[in-house]
Amino acid sequence: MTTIAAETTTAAGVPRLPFRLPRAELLKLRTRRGLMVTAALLTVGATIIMFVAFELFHLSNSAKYGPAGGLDRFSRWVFILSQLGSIAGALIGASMGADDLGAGVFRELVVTGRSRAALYFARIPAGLAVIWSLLAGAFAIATVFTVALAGSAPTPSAQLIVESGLWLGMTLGLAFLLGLGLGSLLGSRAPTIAILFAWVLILEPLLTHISALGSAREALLSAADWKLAPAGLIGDRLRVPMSLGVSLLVIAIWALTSVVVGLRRTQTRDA
Amino acid sequence: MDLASEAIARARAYPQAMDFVVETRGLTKRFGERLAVDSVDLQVPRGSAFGYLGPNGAGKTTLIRMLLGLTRATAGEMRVLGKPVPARRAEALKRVGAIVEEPRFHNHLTGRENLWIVAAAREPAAHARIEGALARVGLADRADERVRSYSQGMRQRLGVARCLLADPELLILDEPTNGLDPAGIQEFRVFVRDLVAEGRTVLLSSHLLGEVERICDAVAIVDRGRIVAQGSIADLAAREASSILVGCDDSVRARELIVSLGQVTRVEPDGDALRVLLGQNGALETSAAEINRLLVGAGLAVHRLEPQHASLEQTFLDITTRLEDVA
Repeated sequence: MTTIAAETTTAAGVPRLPFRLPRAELLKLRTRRGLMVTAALLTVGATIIMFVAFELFHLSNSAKYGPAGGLDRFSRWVFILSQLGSIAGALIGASMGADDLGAGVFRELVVTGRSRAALYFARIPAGLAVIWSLLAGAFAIATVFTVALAGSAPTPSAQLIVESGLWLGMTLGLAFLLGLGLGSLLGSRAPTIAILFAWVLILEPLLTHISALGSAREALLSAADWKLAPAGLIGDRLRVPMSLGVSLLVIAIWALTSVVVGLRRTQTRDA
Repeated sequence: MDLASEAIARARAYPQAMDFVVETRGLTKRFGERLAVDSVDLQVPRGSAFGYLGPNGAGKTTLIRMLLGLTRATAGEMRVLGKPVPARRAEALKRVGAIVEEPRFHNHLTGRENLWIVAAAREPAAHARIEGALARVGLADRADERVRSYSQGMRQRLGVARCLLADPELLILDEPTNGLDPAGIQEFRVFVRDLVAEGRTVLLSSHLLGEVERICDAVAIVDRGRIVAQGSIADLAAREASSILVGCDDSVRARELIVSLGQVTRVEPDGDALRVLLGQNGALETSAAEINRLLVGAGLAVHRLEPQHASLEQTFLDITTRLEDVA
């Protein structure tokens, strides 16, 4: 008991709270009910709705619609969640990047003397913790449905399930970083979300399909991201031919640029 | 006790051996062509309530924002609690609490949660100060309500509680009584004086002359980005002309006698009485006695003799009027 007490309090008897800034960011985030409900609907909610719909179709006409579980359904779910989850990640990132500024609280945090970089970087673990928690919940539900409702259909291998989970984690994380960087740059949530939606949902898919652009498409984040998607998932039509090295480089550049742009603006703006 | 007497009483307790918690030299901020802060040399003594007084748009908030590292200075040097800013801003602000313009919060969080967030940005001990700070500003019972339900006065008090998380040696308050009702303003005055009595320093900016005069020990008067006067309120007031109201049975004869006194600059009618304006060297009480002796010696019946200290308001208006005349 003594040892535990010594580890959890300072010499002055003050509770030792590790990761206080990320915890504060987490507090701000999880109390945003609208945002949390939306993000949960786009991940966990969408997963439940999707598999319930698959099952209802199967029950209504099993000859036309196959089992609600199995490899094919799992593959569809991964594709859809990569899209919807990215929206959730971008929403959370945009909120975290812009909310302190929008509420005028950024100034109140800066006058504590804490470095602006520390304030900025605290948002990353907090945001990722939320988006990955939601993904974990959706993933667990999807895996259970995939196996339990497979019937006679083939089920995904353990390797595919793990690879899919890791890839989705990266995809949603990247969308979060993009939202965070742009939100911090613009300092306002609404235009950030509008720009991200236009880019992620309209422009990127459009550019990916313009084969005339050739290797220039390798610079697109979604193209580089899909290069790393596990083989055998639907959405192969989104794949742009490129090497693994280029794919990793493009992803690193997008992620780093988003973080650095947001950081730079956070450090230089008048609070 | 009237305002001027209160100021004199405070001036007697005003620290003579100066240890400054804020020092600026040649501090300048330019927004394009506009000079918002113009070569400001400010010295705020430790353990005092210091007013930064000036009309709206005089550059008060801009100066505070520079001190707190919210915006960069165009030129000049500044030290807060002895540390150069912005070079050692983190150390300088460790023991500083500040409200700039109106205090802002996350409205979807409770009062207590808002304090927790700021405590997380400060030293670990700040968390242990949350309950005490809430109790001190009288918000302990409402701390678990969302801030969006708070009144303006409650938000102001929560802002002060947030300052207290730093266990501040220096509080910087920008127009702190804005939006407060008379009871809130009175409460705030007491609060500031209590903080000063604890050895803390309060730097408050205001355009309300009477407010500064009631709360502060010393003041810097700022106009169009420049400090035009600085010192204890009593000293500043003493630099300006004081007056004596004189009532007697023969005003005409009295006027002829009084104008002959060396320290008198002007005598003018003021209702049934005469207002005798003294030069800067005219000691008020001594002059009153001398006038009394002169008039009684001349056989006049004196029924009113009322020394009037120059108020900060008068001083402020005199200084700014002079500047406008020069311009």
